[in-house]
Amino acid sequence: MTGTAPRTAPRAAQRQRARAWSPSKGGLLLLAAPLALLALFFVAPLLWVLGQSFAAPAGPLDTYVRIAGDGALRYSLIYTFQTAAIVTVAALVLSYPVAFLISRAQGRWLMIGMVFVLVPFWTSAVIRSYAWLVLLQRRGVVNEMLLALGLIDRPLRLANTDLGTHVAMVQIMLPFMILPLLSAMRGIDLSVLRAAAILGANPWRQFVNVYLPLSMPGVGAGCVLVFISTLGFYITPALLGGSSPMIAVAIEQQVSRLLDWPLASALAAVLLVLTCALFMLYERLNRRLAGAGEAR
Amino acid sequence: MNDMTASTLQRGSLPMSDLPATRGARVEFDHISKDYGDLTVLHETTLTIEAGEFFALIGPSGSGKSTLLGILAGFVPPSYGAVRVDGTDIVAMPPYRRNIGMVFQNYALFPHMTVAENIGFPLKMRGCSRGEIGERVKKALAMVRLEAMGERRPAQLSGGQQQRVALARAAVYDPRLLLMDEPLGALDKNLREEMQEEIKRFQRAFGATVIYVTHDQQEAAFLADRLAVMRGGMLEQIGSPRQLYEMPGTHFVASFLGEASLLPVAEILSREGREVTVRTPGGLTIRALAPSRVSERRALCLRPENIALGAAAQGRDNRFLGTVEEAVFTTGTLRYRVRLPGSDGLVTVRVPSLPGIELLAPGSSVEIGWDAAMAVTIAED
Amino acid sequence: MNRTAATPFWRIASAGLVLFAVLVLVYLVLPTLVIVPLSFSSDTFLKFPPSGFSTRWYESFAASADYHFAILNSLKIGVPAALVATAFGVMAALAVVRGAIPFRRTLAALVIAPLILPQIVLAIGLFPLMAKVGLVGTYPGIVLAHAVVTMPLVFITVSAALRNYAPTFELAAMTLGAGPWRTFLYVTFPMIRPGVIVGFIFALTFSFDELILAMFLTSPTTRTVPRLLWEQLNFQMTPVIAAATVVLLGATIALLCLAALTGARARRRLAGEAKGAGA
Repeated sequence: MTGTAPRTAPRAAQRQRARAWSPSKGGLLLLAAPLALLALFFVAPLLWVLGQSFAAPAGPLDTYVRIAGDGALRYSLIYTFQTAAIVTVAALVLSYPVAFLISRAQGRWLMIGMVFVLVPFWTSAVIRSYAWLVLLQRRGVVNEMLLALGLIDRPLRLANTDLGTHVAMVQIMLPFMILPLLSAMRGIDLSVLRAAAILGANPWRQFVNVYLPLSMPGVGAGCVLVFISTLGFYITPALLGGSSPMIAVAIEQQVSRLLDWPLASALAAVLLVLTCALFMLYERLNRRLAGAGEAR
Repeated sequence: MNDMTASTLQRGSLPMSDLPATRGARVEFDHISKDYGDLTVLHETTLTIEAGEFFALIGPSGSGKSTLLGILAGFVPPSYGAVRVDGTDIVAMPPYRRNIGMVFQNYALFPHMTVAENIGFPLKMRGCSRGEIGERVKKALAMVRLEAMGERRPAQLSGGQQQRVALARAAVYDPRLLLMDEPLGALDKNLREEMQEEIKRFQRAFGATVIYVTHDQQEAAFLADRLAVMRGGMLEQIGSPRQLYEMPGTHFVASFLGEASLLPVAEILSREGREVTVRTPGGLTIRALAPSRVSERRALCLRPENIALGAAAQGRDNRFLGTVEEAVFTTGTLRYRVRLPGSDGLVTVRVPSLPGIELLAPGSSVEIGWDAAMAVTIAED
Repeated sequence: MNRTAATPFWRIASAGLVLFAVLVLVYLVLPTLVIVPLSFSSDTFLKFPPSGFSTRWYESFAASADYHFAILNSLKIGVPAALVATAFGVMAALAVVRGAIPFRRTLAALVIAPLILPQIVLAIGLFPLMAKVGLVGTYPGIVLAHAVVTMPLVFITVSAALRNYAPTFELAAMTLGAGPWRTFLYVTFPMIRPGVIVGFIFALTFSFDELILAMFLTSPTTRTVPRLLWEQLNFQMTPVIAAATVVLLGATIALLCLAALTGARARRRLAGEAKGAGA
């Protein structure tokens, strides 16, 4: 009775593939409407951006050549990367202990922790950037307090500096780091730490050799998420400024002030490709995270 | 499903008879198979289940028994073949038109509905009036002795009660075919035995054909009129529980149903009707039973309770002086592993543990014996 | 890290850890809350600490026709966008989680992508396309754009809700005689309702807060609250913005509390039913 062995004259009708009813046949039908929406209002505009980036009158690669040749734009790209890296590392360092403690909290403490993370997460970036402007401007809260305390005698320049912008961006990005870390840490079975302790590991070794590796998928996912989001950050850098515009701000300036759509599209295409590559990385990490969760 | 059309006309899209089915449906799997690309999970299978029969499908997980049930219920589209219920091919029919009752492993009671709403759901889908639903739900609740539980949520019931609700829900619309997929798997041992009795009573009163999937051979033997042992996507053997236990066709069936000792066969010396004399590689000459096709049968199957020990071995067709290697008390029986003379290995012997009977010490010699009819030749694999 | 190893050194280390985390949490919420006292200031410019208490900025916020229109616009855009996102997000989640479709993971990634992609990229692609068909500055244009970027939120919450229970419930409903539509109506939808509601609220909140697409795709007559705030921020810094911000913050937090309550109720219900829902 093996699958491919010739059988004694099965009736012709039985050898045809059965035209059977299948419970999951409606899947593609259900997907039609969402896919149509995505095709028209997501995929088409992105393709248009890509097309437009090669549509400069001087030649298909002209815009990219101009970006490479324009010192300010080149610096803007580098600056954006630098900022994304700084914000990611800072967010990770600040988030890890917080996520660890929330992941082990229960009842009321867990709720308080989650409120502290989720409320900023869902508060508009416009509002939060505005708050930072209020804090950091020349006659802002921070300067007034430092003056009142006598620590400085002249207001410091905080807004429009890299430091001020980074401090604000890190605060806005923290929830994007804490949430993936939390979901990874919640999946860690704490009995492995007890096992490590019994085997003679002190708390530091338990952390480095057991806990940290197990939380790595969350670290990876959080870092990619924060990095991607910072690459495309517009609101905070546009409001608070810094030593150079971020890419998103540069794109907006090209379009609304210089009306240079091909150049803006080329910058957007660079951002799009980078984001896509990082998003795929994120998907892989997420899958590994989900895999680890299922194996539990 | 032949009389389906008449009631369909009367009552809308779904068939339903007003009286409990007096006779179950006849089910035929006709050259049915299932593959996922290169992976074949069910090899071509042909099987007929008679009307009103309690039929069990048993086998380890991955043996294809759930696939077969899924094909019948309509969850798994078969790759080839036909499934006929009372002569009608149902393969192209969606589950909601098949009018088959099903009890799921974890009951699948809708958590957002009360017990009464759960049981009334199939009636509602068949367009019954509110009054009729109320009445029939009440009757169904009485049948499973849960009259007072109608307004509870499934989560508020015990496992056994949930099981009974699932049974009532699957039976309330009088399907002529009832499928049960490991319905007792989630219950503990004592409750399981109690529910087995209940299911058996229920089927007798209800009269539907029941196809029951389980990996528990005792449960299957207790409940079923006939059972099919499945393995690796194929039917290994079909028969009554007793036939399968006493006359297993293969090593797999012999060891899946109860305990068995296997002795290899080197050579068949003679044959007289159904009785054969064989020689083992270790040099023993044994008289045994050969139901059919002797040439394929390369092993002997011995059930532990069929081997006599000590004085009781006197006068048996086969007698040997063995050595006790292992002796343990289990509830109700004394279980020995006895080494046969020569190099044929060990056989398991089980005798009732009557008060006053001493356990034989390991290392002691003991005579064991059995009649020819107690050793069955089987196919070795 | 572990109670069994509570030597003084590790006790101090873990106290330090807690302190550090508390400081981070303060950093996370406090800056936003600084706006609250400022919004009640009696000064005509943002000054800290405020020299007096008044509700004048709330009064001028309430009296402002611009804010009225913007809030109305945000509702006219947010509610339909969230409804479209919810309907389509539920369909996509059902197809991806329950259906047998090819390229399942790729399709799921595609549905989530609009949330991840920087909105500026989508905005400069959508603007010219929508301009060609006359959608820029209209309600349908921004509604559809917001529907695309908020659909992932519904997709994620509803997918999680679907993964929370076994498909056996739907199979059971089918054996009992319910066709696909009635199975969805009587079984699937009641099971995923909390996820759908939470997804809808998330989508609404997101649309309410979204700036960049609104900047490109709305006109002065369809201008949303974030766009109005943004325009005002760029040329004046009066505490009326603070008042508006506090009102928006309150609305956001209220919506999130609603979402949290819905989620908590669903979890409690599911916890009670976990026994019946296994495998």
